[in-house]
Amino acid sequence: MTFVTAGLAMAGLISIGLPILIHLLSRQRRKPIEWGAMRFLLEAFRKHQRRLQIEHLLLLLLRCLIIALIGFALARPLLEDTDLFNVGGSRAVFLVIDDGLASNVTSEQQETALERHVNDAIELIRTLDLGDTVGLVTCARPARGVLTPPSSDHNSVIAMLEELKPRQSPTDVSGALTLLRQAVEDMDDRYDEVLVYLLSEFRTGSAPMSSPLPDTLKDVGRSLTLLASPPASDPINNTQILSLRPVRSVVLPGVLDGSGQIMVRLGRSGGTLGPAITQVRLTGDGIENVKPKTVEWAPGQSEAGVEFSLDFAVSGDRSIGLTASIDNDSLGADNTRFTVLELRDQIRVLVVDRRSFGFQPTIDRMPAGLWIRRALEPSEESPIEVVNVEPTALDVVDLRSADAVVLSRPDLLPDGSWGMLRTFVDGGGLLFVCPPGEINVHPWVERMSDDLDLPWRIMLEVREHDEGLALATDQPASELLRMISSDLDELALPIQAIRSLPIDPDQSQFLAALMFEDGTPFLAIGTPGVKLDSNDDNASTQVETISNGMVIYLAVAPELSWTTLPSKPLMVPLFQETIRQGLSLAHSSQQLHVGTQSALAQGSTVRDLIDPEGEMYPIDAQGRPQQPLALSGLYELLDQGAQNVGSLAVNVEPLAGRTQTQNATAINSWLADSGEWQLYDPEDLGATLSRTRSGSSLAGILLWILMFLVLLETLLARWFSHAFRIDEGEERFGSGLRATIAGVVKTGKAGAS
Amino acid sequence: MAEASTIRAENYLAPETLVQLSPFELRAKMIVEGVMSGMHRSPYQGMAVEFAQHRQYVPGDDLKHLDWKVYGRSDKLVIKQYQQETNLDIILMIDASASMNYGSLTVKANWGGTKASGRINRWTKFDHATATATAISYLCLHQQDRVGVCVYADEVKTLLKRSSAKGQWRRIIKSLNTHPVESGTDLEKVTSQILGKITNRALFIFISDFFEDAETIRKSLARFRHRRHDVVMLQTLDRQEMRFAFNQPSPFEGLEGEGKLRVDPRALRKSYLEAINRHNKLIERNALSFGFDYQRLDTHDSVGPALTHLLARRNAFIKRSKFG
Repeated sequence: MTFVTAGLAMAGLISIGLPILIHLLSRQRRKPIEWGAMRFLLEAFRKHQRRLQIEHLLLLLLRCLIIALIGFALARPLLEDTDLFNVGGSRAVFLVIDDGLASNVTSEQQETALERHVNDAIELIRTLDLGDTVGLVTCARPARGVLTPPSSDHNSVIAMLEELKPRQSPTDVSGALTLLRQAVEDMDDRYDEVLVYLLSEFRTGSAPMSSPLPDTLKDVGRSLTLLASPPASDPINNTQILSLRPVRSVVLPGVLDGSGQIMVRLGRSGGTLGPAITQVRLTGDGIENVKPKTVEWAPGQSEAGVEFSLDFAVSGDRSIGLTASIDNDSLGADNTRFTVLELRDQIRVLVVDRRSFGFQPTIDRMPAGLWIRRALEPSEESPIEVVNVEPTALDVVDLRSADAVVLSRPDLLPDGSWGMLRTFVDGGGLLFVCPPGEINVHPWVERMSDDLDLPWRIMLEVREHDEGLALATDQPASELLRMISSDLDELALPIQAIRSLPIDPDQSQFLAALMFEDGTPFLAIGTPGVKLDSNDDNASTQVETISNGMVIYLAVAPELSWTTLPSKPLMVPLFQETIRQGLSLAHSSQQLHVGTQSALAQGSTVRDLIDPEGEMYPIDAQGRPQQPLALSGLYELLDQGAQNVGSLAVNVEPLAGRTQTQNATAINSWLADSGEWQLYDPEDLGATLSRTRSGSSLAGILLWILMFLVLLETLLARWFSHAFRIDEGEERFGSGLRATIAGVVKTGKAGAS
Repeated sequence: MAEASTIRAENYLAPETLVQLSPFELRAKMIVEGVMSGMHRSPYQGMAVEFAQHRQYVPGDDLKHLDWKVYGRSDKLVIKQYQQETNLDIILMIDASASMNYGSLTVKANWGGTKASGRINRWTKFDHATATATAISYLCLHQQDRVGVCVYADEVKTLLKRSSAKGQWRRIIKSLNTHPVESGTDLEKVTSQILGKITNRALFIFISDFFEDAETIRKSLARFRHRRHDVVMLQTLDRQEMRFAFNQPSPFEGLEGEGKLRVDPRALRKSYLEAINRHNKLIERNALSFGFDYQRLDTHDSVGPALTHLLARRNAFIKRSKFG
């Protein structure tokens, strides 16, 4: 047997002490009565002593039982397998409420979707029986079990519902259902019926059909009734900023490389997309008088872009926050987007290569390191500062001051250096690796893959290409080489490889910036800890976000004995772009999304994050915020000494704000993967509550017993009280005359009363 | 305590009690051996005032007692005999055991009752016994009888010599008023002591609650009967003792050292009343079996009606009997 409110049952048991205490205290109170006829009292007492003791004990027992039963009855015990005296229910009702970004969509009645869900939920709770319990799970990422296990305190649940506010993170139905399953599995056996209500408008932002739900609620082990609200049918248009991207996140002021360009992409979703005009504004620290751009939407157009060109004339290393915004519409949170630009006077690159002594080698014998140095620092005015480091002398101090590391002799690295490089990459650094040209067998590749946690399998032996291996005529569109993409085909054409150490494309996962004609990557990009989704070439699935940097692998040694690359025009732009854009890409990955807890690029040097409203997010030892980021905006980064060490852009996920409606069939089909859902009628929510219940309350039975015991106690107390009435017949002495003895005054009733 | 200064005879003897008692006489049921002439029959017959009987003349009789009128009418020689009337010795036996110290009737503070009741401001059984003794002694002294008082508990505590003097009444009141009421009861011992001192026939009036073993009481009464004394038993009880009308569970403490007992009086009432009524009936039956008078007195009632009832019944009996 279980109790709905076990505390009351405990209180009832404890209260048994009350009559016992009263019984004991009442023995101590009265003043003794001096009595002359004691012999007759003793005689009567001896005769009835045992009976009186039994009477007292019986009454005391009865009173204790009554108090305990009151506590038990109020605690609402639940009895299985009977429907007698049923006065309460034993259902568990879970409310899974969508409070994600799309639930903030305001209708024409100026009511948000979440407000409608909350009203429906409150209406539902008010139709429940007293014994029913209610649990609450919210869907905005990360999903929260607001009230698990379920509670029978309906008023508290209503108060919690009224406190719910839409969040800016995307709806995570899958996460919410996982929490729900956990809550259902943790419930005790008194609930034979569990009802789950999923309240959402199922707009595209809330229910992305491209992300199927796992079969979370199948085989839960108990009967579940899954009921979902019907999808919204009223189209609400929403315009949002999909992205705010500088051409380069790391800007070198004064260098005319187009890095001052800021691209803003807009999107429209909802019902009929008619012609419209949207004004885009760009603001930021130290950026003034940026003229707003106007987007003129054509009918049916869903995406558009504008470009701002900024001039950063002032030199000095610093970071600035940029904010792009459009006019407010039905969904406000995605009308603003943020990014952070890093302004640098110079980029510092470590070239790890064996130092050459003596004569300058001839061109055909020039080592890779020298070619690379010349490519990165072609002139004195180059914004890239190259520092040569011996492989065996590479240390943490060198890495701490570097933005990028070019590793031309990985075979000479000591064992501990790969670990240092991993830390460097995790902290947002860029690592460029190419095979050494002097050896044929390359055991270091396994060490690299393992220590950097890269899903790459690189050949151990050099592959010879006697006839030369050209680059593919159609190169993939790569963000890394976007700035030279227009000339890339032409630049790639004369490149031939005589030897290569390629990545096995069948056993590796990578992004290729340049490809050989045989399909193996010439230039591959990877991030430690990140594996690519094999089903989608353009998207990556973040398995464990622990690294913010990037690893770039060149499949040839940039020497003339391996390839014609060093002598071709591609050499300089390839290395310049790889370093500059690679660094920008590595830093741009530090844009976080609301609702996430990803590790920061700055790692453990950051102690706290301060959000735009002043809320502090402590950073743990792994460099992650200790709680999910709740708001979009520019966050301050504070170090151990509470000094500002930069900014962090946190944005809403664009997909989360899509407001297209979806039809019921599609929603049913999407939900069906997780369990057998039915769409309910919101106009008659109470009808969905099943009347069948196999667990019923014992409170009714206890109340009947209680009534009987109270009656019994009343009768027994009356009987055992031996109450009497003195009538005139007992006036057996004298004639009832008043005492006329002089001086005697009857000032009170005779006897001790 | 200055008992003498607080003694007020009128506390015990109300005028209406006197009025109620005035038409009655306390007469002896049996022949008494008084030394003075009075209203009671003497065992000695002679030339007294009241004619008793004739008897056959025998030689040697004084001829002056010969009834010549009978001889003239019937030619028979008979001697006239006369009943000599004498006075009565009355001994008031007052029980001063601790149980007599119970009273449920409240009196005024500083009322000046007995030594015992002055402490608790209640009209105790001993107070009532005192009032009863006062009334009886007044009546007896008024009819020239000698009245003595014996206060007893576990032994004879005080024995006031018999006297018909005018000051006897006050001496009786003073003796009772200042007497402590505290010991247990031993009627057997008291009987031995008192019978050892009172040798001539007398009327013993016991005023007590008789909370003693009924068999002991019966044996004592038998000894009085054997000595040809007359006995009147006035059982003095408080009304509360006869009703036991307590409502709350309370501890009861025996006045004669029976200890303390915590009881629910309502639960024991019936049984208690049965016990005390059975005892009282036994006392009454014992008294009647010896031909003694028995009267129960309620401390909440005035003394007069109960005593007049007793006297009327007693005089009627005497009138019906051969002594009347």
